[in-house]
Amino acid sequence: MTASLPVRLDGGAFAVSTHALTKQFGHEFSLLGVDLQVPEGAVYVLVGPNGAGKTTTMRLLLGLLSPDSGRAEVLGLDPRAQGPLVRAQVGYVPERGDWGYGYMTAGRLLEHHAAYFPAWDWEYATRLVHAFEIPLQKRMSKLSKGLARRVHLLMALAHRPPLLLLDEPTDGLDPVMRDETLGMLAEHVAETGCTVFISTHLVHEVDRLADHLGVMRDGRLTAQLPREVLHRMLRRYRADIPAGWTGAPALNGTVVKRGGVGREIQWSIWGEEREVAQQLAESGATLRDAAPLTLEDAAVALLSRKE
Amino acid sequence: MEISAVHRLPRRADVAREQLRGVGLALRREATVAAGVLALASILIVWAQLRGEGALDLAPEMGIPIALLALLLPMAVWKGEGPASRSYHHAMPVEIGAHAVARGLAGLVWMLGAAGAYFGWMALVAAGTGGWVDSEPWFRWAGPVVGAVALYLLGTALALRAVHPWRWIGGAVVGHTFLRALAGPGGDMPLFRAADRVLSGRYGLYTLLSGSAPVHVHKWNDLYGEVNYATRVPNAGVWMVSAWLWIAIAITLFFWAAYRQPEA
Repeated sequence: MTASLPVRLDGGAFAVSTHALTKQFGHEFSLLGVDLQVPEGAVYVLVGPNGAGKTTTMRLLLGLLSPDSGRAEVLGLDPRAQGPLVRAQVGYVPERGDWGYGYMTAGRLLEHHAAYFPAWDWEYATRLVHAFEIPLQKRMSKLSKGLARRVHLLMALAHRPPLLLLDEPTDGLDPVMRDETLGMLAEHVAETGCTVFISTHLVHEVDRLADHLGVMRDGRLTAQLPREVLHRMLRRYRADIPAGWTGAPALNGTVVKRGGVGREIQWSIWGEEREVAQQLAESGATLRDAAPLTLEDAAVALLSRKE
Repeated sequence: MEISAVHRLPRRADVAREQLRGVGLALRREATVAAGVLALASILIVWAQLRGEGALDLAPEMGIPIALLALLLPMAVWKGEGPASRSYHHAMPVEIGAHAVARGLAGLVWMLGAAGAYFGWMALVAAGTGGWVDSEPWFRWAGPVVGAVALYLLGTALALRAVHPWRWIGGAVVGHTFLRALAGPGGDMPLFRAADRVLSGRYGLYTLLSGSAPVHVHKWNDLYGEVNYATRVPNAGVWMVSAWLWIAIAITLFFWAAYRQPEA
């Protein structure tokens, strides 16, 4: 039994897809052969440690960088050749906090941004201004990180784009504002049916939104799957083991993360629960329970998996 | 999948207008400082006039500082939007090179407006103090303006391509000073001579800015014998070649930098 984590999604229409996307800076690969598939209407969370290549992926999708090889398709458009048209369809929140012009007031920046997006909905924007409590008269450079983040989110949402690319969108928000912001985002998704591609290393913050998960490490996409598959296939097994237990050789390659205390093992294992339970029983371990992992625990387990 | 581009691109006129307004805001602090300096100078001139000082003449060379400031202006136009950063400006739904050109040209419009305001102020000062306006030949007045355009475009190219443009400018000034010191009074050093040719050679920067080309004079003086010295005299032909040369180089580098911004 081996655990080959899924890296391709079955069928369906994809709002974003990449094929062997590769980007190199100097001698270092930032992305290496990434095949990303974000289904239309999905909320896809890409997790990975800092430097994994998440931001580079976003920039390639927006046509801000050119790939060294491979290709990308965003809403049926090629970002390399049709970058402006791609950016017109996308609401983008970048990782950096100094987005926009520090010398402009928040209100003036919104006006400036609106001039570039003919579909800008001022009524919706005004509603968001009130909901996010944005001080329109204050200069962007004088706003707190959290307030600036809310302005960035508003700029991404107010032209009702079919695709949102959010790079660490909750970075800098306090817990209350994070909750409210994610609530607004959930409402926006429900209302517009847009596709959301979120890159983060703080998975628990977007847990309630995500329906697909991608795991990126060292520029490679190591797993990509719908949440229900993750929920079903990746579980934490608690089992009692006898003295001198030599492990469960049949499970080699399926154990994503190992842990435990004393005579109790707590392993995160990829596979059908029935088969895993059988293998554990055959190895001499006594299964106590098997439970699905939270999205964050699953992400941590997949990220810490040794190849 | 089917192409699902539901949102259209902004109109070019909207982008140009927004860049003009946006760059105007970006330059507000610099404009305030410049207005303050002119106001202070005006007060000093009035004070001097009340004390019976003489008239202030208006000469084209007084526009040269504006041209030199034009080289630095792009750093203010592009503040926070350095190259390779793939910043806010890049992420707008406009082709990246064309958008950089739009911003660069918006800055140029403001720079020319500022130059016009400065010359207007100088004319007022000359008229107010009963000064004389040195109006001949015409190309000496065109020099600072054309020079300002060329230096602004070169500064923009630097701002778009260099991660630390101030270091390049500072390095060039320090380097030239160092070379001058090394070369000594005779300036007998190939590297210094090359750098000096760019600045004050026949088609160099000073010719562009002043409309005057260098000439070597050989004269017989009854007291000292043969005297050789270099001076500058207005020369329309040389100035025009110099202007075409500098503008062509500046426009080429400007467009090259706008359409070939580095990635990082």
